[in-house]
Amino acid sequence: MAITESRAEVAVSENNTSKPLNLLKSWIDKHLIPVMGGAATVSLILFSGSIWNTWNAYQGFKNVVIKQFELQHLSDEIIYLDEVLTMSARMAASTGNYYKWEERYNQNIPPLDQAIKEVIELAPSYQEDLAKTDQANQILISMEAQAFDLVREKKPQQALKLLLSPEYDANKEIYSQAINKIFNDIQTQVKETRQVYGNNLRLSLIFSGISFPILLISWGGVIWAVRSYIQQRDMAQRKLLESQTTLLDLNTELQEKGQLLFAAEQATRIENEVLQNDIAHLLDVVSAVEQGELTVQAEVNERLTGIVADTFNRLIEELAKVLIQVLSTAVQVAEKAQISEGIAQQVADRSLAQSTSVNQILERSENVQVSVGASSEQVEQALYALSTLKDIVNQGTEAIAQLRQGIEILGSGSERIIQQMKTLGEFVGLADEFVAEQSEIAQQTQILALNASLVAARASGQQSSTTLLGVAREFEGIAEQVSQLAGATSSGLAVLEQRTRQIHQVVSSVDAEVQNLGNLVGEFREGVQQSNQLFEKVETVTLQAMGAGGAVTQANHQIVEATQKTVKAMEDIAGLAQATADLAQNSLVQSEVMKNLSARLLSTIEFFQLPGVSEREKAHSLPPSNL
Amino acid sequence: MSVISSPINKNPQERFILAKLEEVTLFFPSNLVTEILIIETSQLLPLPFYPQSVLGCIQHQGQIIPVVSLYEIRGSNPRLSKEKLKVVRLSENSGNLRGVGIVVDQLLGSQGKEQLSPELFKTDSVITLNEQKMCLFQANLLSEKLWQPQHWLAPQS
Repeated sequence: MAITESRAEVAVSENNTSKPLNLLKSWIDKHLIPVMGGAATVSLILFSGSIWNTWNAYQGFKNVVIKQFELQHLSDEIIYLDEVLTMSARMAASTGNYYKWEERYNQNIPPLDQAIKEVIELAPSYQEDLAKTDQANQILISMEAQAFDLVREKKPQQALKLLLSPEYDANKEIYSQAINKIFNDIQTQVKETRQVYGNNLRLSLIFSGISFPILLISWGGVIWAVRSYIQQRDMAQRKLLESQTTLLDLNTELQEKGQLLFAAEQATRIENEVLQNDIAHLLDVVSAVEQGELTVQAEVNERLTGIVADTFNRLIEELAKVLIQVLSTAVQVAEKAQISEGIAQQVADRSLAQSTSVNQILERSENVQVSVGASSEQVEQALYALSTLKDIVNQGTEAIAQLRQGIEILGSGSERIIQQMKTLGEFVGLADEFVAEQSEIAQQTQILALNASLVAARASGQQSSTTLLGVAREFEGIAEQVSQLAGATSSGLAVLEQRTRQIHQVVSSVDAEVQNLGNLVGEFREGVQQSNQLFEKVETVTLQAMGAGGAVTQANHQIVEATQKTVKAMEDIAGLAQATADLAQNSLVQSEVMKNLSARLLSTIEFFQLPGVSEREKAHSLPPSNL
Repeated sequence: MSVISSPINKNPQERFILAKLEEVTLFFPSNLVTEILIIETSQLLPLPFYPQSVLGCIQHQGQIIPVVSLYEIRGSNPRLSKEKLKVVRLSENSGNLRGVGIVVDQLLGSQGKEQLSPELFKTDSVITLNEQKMCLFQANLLSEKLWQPQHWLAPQS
């Protein structure tokens, strides 16, 4: 349990870190060994891969690159030795001193052969090329041997000629080309191989670079998980130790408490016996109280039963006090009740007097009622008259409304007539204008006539044709003016005809309006006659209403007298009522006193809790205290 | 006087054109009258420096016609309140007044000499017959001073 608690505490304490990290950690904690095994496996695989890669690179380097470097060295040596042999032969041929140069030549032949053999051994793929080289080499060697023989035979010129011959040069060329080809191939192959191994090394480096962080992370995680596991285990172990010590302490405490309890049990047994004796005594006292004996007292001691006895003694005392108070209160209540009885008697007498006064008032009210009845009859008559008046007034109102309506129609008709008269006036104005125009035309015509007469008078006195021609032109002008005037006259006449027609229309409409107005006036006359009749009726009804009003007035006077008498009687009654109110107030005061007494008594009795009476009932039964 | 014109007589010199000028009836011999015109007041071209009787000039049928009012002669002020004026144009027989237009209020017609009162021909001033004033038009009704520009008139002592 302690371990679980410690693990829980650790889990709680680490709750502050990120949740995914917690989840990962918890998962790792649960699967620690598989995780470690997995990390080891991955590490092993990666290391194996790296080792294999490195071994591969090493083997490659060793087998191929070294071999290639060796081949290159051998090729250089072959070229060198070939040149040594060639130069030795040529020097021997050119100097004639064959001993030294032949010795040198013979010394360098075996290394050359050895070198070629080693090349063949190291690169069997170049054997074909080397075969060609060897063939050319053999030819060269035989030619050089021949040259040495010639030098030995004292024929250096021939020897030199042989060594410088085209055949020798051709074979030399073949030899050198073959060698160069081989060495170029070797160099190319070396380069390719170097590149391949460079790529392999790069790949292995990348692999190492990738695997290193993976290994780092995985082993870091493993280390972190292991460390946390170790921490958790240490914490759990600590918690275990702490809980163990706590349990030991509790155990000792329990042992001590057990001993104490045993001692307490013994004491309790003794005390129990004593208490039983006390309770028996209390029961005796209670039975005495039940019998009504309130003078008994229970024995008080230090024990709990002594406290109970003391409380019971106080209860008995309280009960005695309450009963004494109840007794005194009952005596007071009896006295107050007698006083209230006296007051009630007075109230009854006063009420009797009031009732006699009320009877008198009733008689008078009857008289008033009779008067009111007469008055109401008169009022009814007046009302009837007024209703009749109202009907007449309504009829008059209707007649007046009709008159008003007719007046409005008359007004509108008059307006229309006025408008039409205005139109007529306009037409008359137009006619005046026409007349003026026609008079003007007439004047012009007259003037033209006079001019014509003047021209005629001149023409009658003329005999020359030219002057007659002038006169004729004047006549022509005058005739044109006459025709214009005639046209103006005809157009004026047309306008006059049109305006005359309009005037006829206006006049006919005015005539119709006037006829309508005449009818309206007739209706007005009838309405006025009706109104006159209605007003006559109103006059008679008003006279009737006035008579009824007089009678009502008389009846009202009688009512007023009766009312005055009634008022006086009511005042007497009010006096009696005031006295009754005073007595009632007195009675109220007495009641208040009794209420206070009862409240006091109830508050005293509250000390006791009675069966079947709830707190609310007690509160209702308890009047508000004025103490 | 009625406006009825009498039938044309064979002797033109014996006819008279009747015109009204205020309450006076003027009798123009027909041989003194060329024609009768109705002109508009707006057509009048006033002539400065001339008396008020000379209302101005108008252009009629390519001729300039001076228009004269007889109101001064009558003693009343010339009135140009009307829009149109009736003008009696005098003929060549009028002597110095040939072509002059005389403004009248109303044209009444024409009558023969035999219809006129002989007393009309006895005087050149206004006469009253049957409570009607009448006057025979003559060329000497218009003074020569009428045609002189006023600043040329010699100052009157």
